[in-house]
Amino acid sequence: MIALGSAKIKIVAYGKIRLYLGENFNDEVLVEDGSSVRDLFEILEKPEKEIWMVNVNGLLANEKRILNDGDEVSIFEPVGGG
Amino acid sequence: MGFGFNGKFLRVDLSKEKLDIEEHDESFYRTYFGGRCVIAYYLLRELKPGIDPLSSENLLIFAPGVITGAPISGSGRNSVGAKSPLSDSYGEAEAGGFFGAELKHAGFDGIIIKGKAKHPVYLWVSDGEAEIRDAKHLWGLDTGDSQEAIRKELGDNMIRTAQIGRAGENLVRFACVIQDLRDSAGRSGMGAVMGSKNLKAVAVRGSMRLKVADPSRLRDCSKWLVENLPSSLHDFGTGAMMTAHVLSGNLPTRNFRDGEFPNPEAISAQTIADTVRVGMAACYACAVRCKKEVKMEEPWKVEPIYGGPEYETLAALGSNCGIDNLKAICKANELCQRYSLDTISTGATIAFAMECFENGLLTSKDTGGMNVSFGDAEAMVNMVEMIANREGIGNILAEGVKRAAVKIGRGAERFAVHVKGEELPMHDPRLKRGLGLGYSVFPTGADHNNNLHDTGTTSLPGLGIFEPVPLEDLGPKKVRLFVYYTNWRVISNSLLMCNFLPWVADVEKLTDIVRAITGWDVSSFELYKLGERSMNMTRAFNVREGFTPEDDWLPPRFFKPQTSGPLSKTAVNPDNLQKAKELYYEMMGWNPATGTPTKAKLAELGIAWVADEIETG
Repeated sequence: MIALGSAKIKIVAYGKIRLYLGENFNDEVLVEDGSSVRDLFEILEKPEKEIWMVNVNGLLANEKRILNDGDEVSIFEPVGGG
Repeated sequence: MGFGFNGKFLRVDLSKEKLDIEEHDESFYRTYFGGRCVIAYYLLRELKPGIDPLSSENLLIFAPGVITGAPISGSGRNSVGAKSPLSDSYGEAEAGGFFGAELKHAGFDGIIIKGKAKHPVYLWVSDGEAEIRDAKHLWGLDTGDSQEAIRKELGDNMIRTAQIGRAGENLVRFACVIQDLRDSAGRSGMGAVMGSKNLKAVAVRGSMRLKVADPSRLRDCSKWLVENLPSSLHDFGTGAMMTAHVLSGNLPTRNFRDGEFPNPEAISAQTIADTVRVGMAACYACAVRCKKEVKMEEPWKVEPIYGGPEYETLAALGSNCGIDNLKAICKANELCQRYSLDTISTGATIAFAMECFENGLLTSKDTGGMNVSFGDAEAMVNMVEMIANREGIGNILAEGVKRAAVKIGRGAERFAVHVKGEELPMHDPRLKRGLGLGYSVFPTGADHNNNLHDTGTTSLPGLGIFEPVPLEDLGPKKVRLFVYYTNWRVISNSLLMCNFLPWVADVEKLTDIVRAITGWDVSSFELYKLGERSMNMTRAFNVREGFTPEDDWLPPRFFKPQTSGPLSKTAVNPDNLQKAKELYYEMMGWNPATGTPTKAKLAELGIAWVADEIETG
């Protein structure tokens, strides 16, 4: 488990992002209090040019969203046209 | 004749049973290129304002572009245009497949059809010649049976067709034109225009290969394209990201009302691949192969010749009707191909009826005893039949949600999700704010094809926008991104190239494709101006038809959050949309108060003659 603080965040990754994080990725991350989604992306080493979208506890969120202990974060690729 | 075009358009007068060839010089092609610009050119020059789109006065135009039929991925596309009977505005739809390429190989860069035949006919076009033939024996046939009969009659199994089924014949306002049974020029009701002309089909066969200016350069472009094509489309086609659509709130659910759809994977492209898919098919010369073929025996029989559902169809006939029954969606999709119905408008119209039913505005008395509630898969399939046949409530729904809401009355308008009469495609403006602006201002009504999908496109380094614009932004930075992106993207409707190519990955590479095909020393600047030209010409058409800025607006539903799910705390702010709309007009060089292209703008685009067609602002 990645442990950088005491706020426990559950991560569910989809599609290419799940593949990127790898099969052995532990879905729980301990982050510092007051961390944002952007901080979480840094911890997960999101490639700079990629766009990752997040849903926190069932609501769509952006990178500025502050994470709290117990939050569930779904990470997925942007949906395009079609 | 130059490279990438034949120099000839076929002109057909069905009333007089007369055929002519019209020739244009190279400057015409380098100004208008094909598709949207050619359609707008003829509609502006030859259509009287205010005509009934289903009268003999309307024009129906088949228009490939300079790229159509060239030996490169994405060149199978072609446009079909007319004044729309659904929106009464500029109407246009595109299809992939083979028909457009075959038409180019038959020696024509387009077909302009006017008048109305005295009885059902079809048009036979072959290697520079054309003939109007009797189609009384084809009228009423499904597209599959009709195509088979035409091929048998003309003794050639490789004939390509653009046809209507019973929905087009019955003038369903969102009937589409079906090409080779699985490729749909879906939107704007072009199939109804075809039906109104008593034109069952256009059959085409050509053996004249298109001359390309620089085949070796085109091969290099082709190699680059293949290396940059999205692999997911090759493996699954569209519809492979259903869970992401739900997590983002983008998947329209129960008539764009709700945000929760518990089992999105039940209607995903992966599930299709694991269950009913029997193959993947390609369009002309294309390496992507994104077209599904599905086959079923029970509980409904579905024939693979009619292809399979794309994302828009899976959402329109699925989640937007509250349905996760994949087999029902596959059957409804097949019926739409057989009968020539636009799957987006069909699904959206059924969803509208379901919400009316749940709110007591329609009862089982109106529906012939049928329970038309969200989630009822069997009712959904039945409704497709009823709409195509204009049977019972289907006769009202065949008018599209805007007109149906007026007929049903008692406030049904609040459930009618459309812009300018065209039902919304399957992307939610509460998520994609720039796309919401596009839905509002685009000439055909709610269009997703040429629109900004804010989620995936946040910058355009090739066009000078290198700072990412946030998803929820609808301010000047987003409007600038929207203007640049849509003006660039819409050139695909004039060059006629597939939208699934990497449009923003390398602006220069796409320009190089046009150079290699045509031999012209075009620049990205010149092509960008082509996009602007097409947006100005279509805008001018709508201004001439009496459309005003009030018509450039979203349905009220989107100014409130979804009732549940990821977007249940956010919605489009109407003040921000109004400001964005006015800013869009200004950035386009239009009068910000009236949305009318200015004389200066039209002159700058080399189409000063368009100013004579409208009252300039």
